[in-house]
Amino acid sequence: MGFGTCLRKLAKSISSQNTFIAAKEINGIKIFENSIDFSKIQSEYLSYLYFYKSLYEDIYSKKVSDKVLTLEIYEDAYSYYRNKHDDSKKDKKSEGKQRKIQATFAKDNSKIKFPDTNKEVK
Amino acid sequence: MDNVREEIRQEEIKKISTQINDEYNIDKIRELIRSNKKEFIHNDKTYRVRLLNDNEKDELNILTKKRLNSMIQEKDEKGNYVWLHIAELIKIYKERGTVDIEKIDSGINKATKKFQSANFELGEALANKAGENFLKSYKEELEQSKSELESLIIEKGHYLESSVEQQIQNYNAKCISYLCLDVKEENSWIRAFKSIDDFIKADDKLVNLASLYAMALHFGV
Repeated sequence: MGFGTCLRKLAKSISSQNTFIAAKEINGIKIFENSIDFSKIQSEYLSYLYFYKSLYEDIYSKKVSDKVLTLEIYEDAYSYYRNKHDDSKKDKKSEGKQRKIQATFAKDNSKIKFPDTNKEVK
Repeated sequence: MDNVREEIRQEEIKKISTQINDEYNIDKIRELIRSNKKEFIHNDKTYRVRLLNDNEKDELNILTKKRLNSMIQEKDEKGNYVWLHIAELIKIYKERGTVDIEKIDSGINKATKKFQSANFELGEALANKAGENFLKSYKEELEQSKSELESLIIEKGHYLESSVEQQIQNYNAKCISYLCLDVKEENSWIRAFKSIDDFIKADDKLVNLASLYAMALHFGV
């Protein structure tokens, strides 16, 4: 087992996840000896702690089954899909905001015309 | 019957030994993550790999620049430069018609898109709780696109390995390992080797082990 897989297994373990949550909530509990100037491996470990925390939350809220945890390739693919999915949701939201802003300037004499929200803003 | 029992026993031994090995590797990495240091014993001596401090980073910079300056001026007996930059190598390959790096790059772009799309499809299938057969087929597709992408990246790396840029990167990695490796002598830590040349000539096992930890610390896993 390479270092990469070891790092993931460590971040995925329940004890590491518990320490991670406790460190965020209780002052004095530390994940690393240093609290600044993280090394590259520490930054990667933190990323994996967040990565697995999100996966466990999605499993808990039944967004995905715990089958996702059986293979690294599943974990990566699901996270990639979820991030892309979230990004497209955000894009749609910001598009909606753009339309609303344009509506405030679309004055026709005294009345305000709101654009059709199903049409693209030109 | 005895043969079957023996096979099962061997399988169990293999399983347990893999578990122990995994736990051993996880313990090694746990120490490295927690303290940014890793101690190990080699030939009855205790060594330590740690993060570089600011002075050592300056030292690293000087070592690398010196090596770069000497490489870009080095000529062979015919007066030709020994080391070529990536752009020069690509040009030569093209002129000789042997290797087309642009074509490999375009292959990498295509394979990356294919990999991302297969990754998304497998992720979507997992989110939609697709059946085992669907997952298996998406997984195979993803593994195939990953392997295509990896082989193209390896192929490109192989053709450009002799470039100044790649050689400097390799030298930089060796210098980091040399600078961050200490040995314990009379309860105090001192640099394990007097010069980078001594480090490079040292026992392969020690160099490889030090490099493994040093790279994980400074460049990640």
